[in-house]
Amino acid sequence: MLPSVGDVREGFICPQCHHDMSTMEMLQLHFQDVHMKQSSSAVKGLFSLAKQKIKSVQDNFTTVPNEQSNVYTQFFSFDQNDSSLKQQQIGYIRSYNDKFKKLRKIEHDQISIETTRLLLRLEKLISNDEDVPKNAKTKERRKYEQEIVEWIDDSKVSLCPSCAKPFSLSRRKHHCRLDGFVICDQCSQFLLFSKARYLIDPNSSTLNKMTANGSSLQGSNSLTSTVTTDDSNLNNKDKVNSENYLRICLSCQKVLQRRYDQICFKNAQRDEVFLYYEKIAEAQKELANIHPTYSTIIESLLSGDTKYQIIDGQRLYRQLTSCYEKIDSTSKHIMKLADSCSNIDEDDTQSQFRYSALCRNIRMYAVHLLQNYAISTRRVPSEDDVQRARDERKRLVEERNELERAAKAELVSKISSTDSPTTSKKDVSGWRPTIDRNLLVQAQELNPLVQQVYQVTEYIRQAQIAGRYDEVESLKLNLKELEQALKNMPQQENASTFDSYAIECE
Amino acid sequence: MTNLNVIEAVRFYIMRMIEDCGQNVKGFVMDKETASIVSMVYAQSEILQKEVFLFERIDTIGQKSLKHLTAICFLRPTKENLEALTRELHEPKYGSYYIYFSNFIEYNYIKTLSEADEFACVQVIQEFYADYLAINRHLYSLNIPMTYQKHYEWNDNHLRRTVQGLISLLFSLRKQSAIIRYQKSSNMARTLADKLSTTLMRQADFATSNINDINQTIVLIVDRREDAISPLLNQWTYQAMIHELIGIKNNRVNLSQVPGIKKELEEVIMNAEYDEFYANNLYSNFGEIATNIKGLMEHFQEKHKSQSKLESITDMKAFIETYPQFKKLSGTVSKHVTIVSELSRLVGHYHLLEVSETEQNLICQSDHNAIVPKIKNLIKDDKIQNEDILRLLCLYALRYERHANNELDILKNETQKYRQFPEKYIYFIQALLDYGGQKFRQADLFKTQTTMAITRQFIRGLRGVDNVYAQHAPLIKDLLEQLLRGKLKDTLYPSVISKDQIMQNNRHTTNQQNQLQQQGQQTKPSEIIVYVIGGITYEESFHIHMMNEKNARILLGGSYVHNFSSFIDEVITGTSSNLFVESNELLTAKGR
Repeated sequence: MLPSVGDVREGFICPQCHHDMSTMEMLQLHFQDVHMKQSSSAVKGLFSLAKQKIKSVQDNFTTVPNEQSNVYTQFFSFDQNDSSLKQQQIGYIRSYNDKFKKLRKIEHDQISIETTRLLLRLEKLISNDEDVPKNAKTKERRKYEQEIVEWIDDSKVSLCPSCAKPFSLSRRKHHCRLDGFVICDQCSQFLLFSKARYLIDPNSSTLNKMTANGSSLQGSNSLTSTVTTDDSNLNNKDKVNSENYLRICLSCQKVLQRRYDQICFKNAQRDEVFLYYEKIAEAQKELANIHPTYSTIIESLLSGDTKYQIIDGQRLYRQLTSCYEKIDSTSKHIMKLADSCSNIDEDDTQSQFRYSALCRNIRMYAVHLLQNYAISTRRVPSEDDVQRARDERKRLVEERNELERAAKAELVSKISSTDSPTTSKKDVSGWRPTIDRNLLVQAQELNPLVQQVYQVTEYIRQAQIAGRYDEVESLKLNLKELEQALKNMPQQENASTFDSYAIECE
Repeated sequence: MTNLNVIEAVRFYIMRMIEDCGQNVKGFVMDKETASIVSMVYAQSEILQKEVFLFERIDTIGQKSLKHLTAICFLRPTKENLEALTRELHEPKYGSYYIYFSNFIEYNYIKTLSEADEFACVQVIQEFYADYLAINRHLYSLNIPMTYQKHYEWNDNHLRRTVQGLISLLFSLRKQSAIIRYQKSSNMARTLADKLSTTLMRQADFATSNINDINQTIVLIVDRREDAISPLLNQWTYQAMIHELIGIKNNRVNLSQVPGIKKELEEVIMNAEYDEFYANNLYSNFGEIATNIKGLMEHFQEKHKSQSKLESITDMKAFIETYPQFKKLSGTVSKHVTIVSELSRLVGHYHLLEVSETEQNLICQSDHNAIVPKIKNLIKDDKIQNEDILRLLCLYALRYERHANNELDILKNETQKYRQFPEKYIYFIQALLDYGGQKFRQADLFKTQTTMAITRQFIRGLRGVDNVYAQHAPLIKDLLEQLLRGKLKDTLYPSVISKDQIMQNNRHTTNQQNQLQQQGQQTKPSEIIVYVIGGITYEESFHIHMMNEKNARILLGGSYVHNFSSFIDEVITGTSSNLFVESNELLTAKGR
């Protein structure tokens, strides 16, 4: 009904080249092989390049000198303190929740008093105790019933209050067992004991299943039956007779029916779709848990770090794949439900349409989900790749050490200070403040905080080279805190020099 | 400091609805109007990602219940909707309901709904003031195609809808008060301003007013009848052109009339929020857009190492068709190529450049003797559409209404002699004069009255015009310039300051403002919201956009976004009962 922008394509379509890949696995392989290997600028895709192109073309046209760029500023005033002007916020909202709930409560309370009263009587009437007479035709039973609900004197009633027809020999007077009023047979409703029990205790009743099914079929969820004395309905009546029932009037029936509907509403059975959907949601949750770890592992492997082994990656990869498969197959299953539309009347095309739209949309959601993951998931690198990365890293570290040694030697000779006994072998377990001496000298005049910042940035650099990403993270956090502390200090100049330095380090 | 963004304002609300509902399977229940409101700012595919799997209309919810779905009901508070909702709550098909009304709802309806909610499945019932179509960041519409009733008066429904729309706009931008200025010559503008002011006072009570708030919003209410020119012109910026030549309706463009159109392109969606190329080129002129598309295509061609050179738009179209892969890339490129090539086809086929130049010269220059033969020539040219001749005749009729040598009748006769001119069109010219003729107007629409304006025009004539197809600047731009410079006359555009406002609300500041106003020192507005009774045009939107680019803070909106053909319909319905009625003269005289 609502339009979607652009053409929505279903299935596993590569977002880069829009080739249709028939499966998740294919898409993943394809994406990795074709697009990941391209240089990072190429990965951005044809489209972003196209955008750049458009932009450059446009730039040619916006060469009109922008002499008066602030031309209207002077005519508008605004309170600089008003945050709503700096960043647009959500507009006003007026809530009626409390008022509504209060009104609803009043309404519901009134009804529930009535309902409880009837249910209490009902419970006694259908009691299973041995001393309660069961046979509806006996005098004992009538006496028992009248003990619970006082029957009104029927001598004053000449018309049935519900159909307004006069009572006669052929239209005899009956009493509602729940409120004691008089009604005619035609206006009587009959409540089976089994259903009455269900009303009183929906959980233990055997009717539970039946009603749940009934509620999904429209029209068959009536609580009571109207049984007429017609001969044609004899069979029906026999059936009713085989089980005990209560004669009740329409107004009581209404109250009980309402309660019955509410119970059905609460106990409504889940549609298949939701059961399946739950599986998708579960798998999705798992994915969200695993995926970040997996990415870190792959990253670390590819950077030549030795913290993780290939096997770790493979294990997680298998888990991920099983999640993908679960989502894929479940959503496909839901898709199939779209065409079958079980439980829906054939004439009810609106519901059918609705149901299949629901199923299709879930499938579309799942496909989109998988697409996103497929693209962000790299395969586990091969032994060779990892080895190569490790060698590379080793080489880098050595290179760096070499450079450092050289730099230090130079430094020693330059500053001719005797007290710089630099150890040439690096301590791998901790980062040391090896900063350019000149900077340090300069820094000594600076605020201790600023010095600290210099040191931390240097640590980060070292950690990055060594490929210890978690430490880099924590160090970065440190840096942020320091930055914050610095900003709060009055010496703005210092902070700004630090900023530029930090950028260089990055 | 950025301008307020109406698209963002509506998106905020919709985002909040979905978030409030939590993480579960959701269905979005709307009515006809809210469905368009939502679709203007959100693509269905984007909402889908938030586990909203069903989109349906309140009046067509199916029979089968889906109790494990949560309903987000976003509805206008109309009687029909409330009745449908009451019925729905009696027999709920969803498990729970989050109800959001797009405007204020009467208290007794809350009561009715609470009584209907037997199953206690309503979780939330709130007013979210997203009650207008957000077209672009600075542009909104209330989607009322026919505002005028007989004698140019309000129909109650439209008046209510307009007041609600404007209040929701203010509330969605967190404004609870505004200075309302209106065009005095228009009864409708005055009625709207009064009603808006009183309703605003009544409804804004819940919002905590900030006494120290010095930000002042100005709402400027104008009547389209004051400037009937803008909807008559051919346009040359991308968005305006598409609307003028093909038609944009709720961001959708129907291309089924385009010769040889592919099935999947028969209806395309043009939403600047989701289409970067469109966003970048909304206000580009036709020359720029053709170049931009060409540049885009050439880039792709390079990418595919193709040698053939793209010279014309026809070549480009062929190029597209020979690259199936290209087609797959996205609807975007082929969509724009199709549209641009269609536009260029129409421009070429109907000689629109020639027509437009004549239009612009007709209204922006004052050489009567030179323009008449030009129009006559065009009338004889059978390549020119009747519709475009009508534009010229209308412009002529308005421009030289009181000219001593008015040749309108001669031109009409000429037209009927040389072409099959629909009866409706002849009638329209008459209707238009009644609608927006000099009798009604108070502004100097053609800038011919003041010596200043004449001098300015003269100087421009000497300098030469930069672009012969864009000489015209709409009146609304002029009004806004005047307003900003404090030169908009209070006698012509008075402001509503209700007594209540002075009594109740921060007596102090209002008095201060009054004093300032009396001293001629108007307080600067924090932003200006324009509403045009009878609709706006994309030409006006373009001009406001350009002002906003220069740090103005203006939102533009109206009852509808007109192009020539929708404008014809509106004017004819508005005047049909008016013309040939004796009291006509008297009524419009009163209106002045």
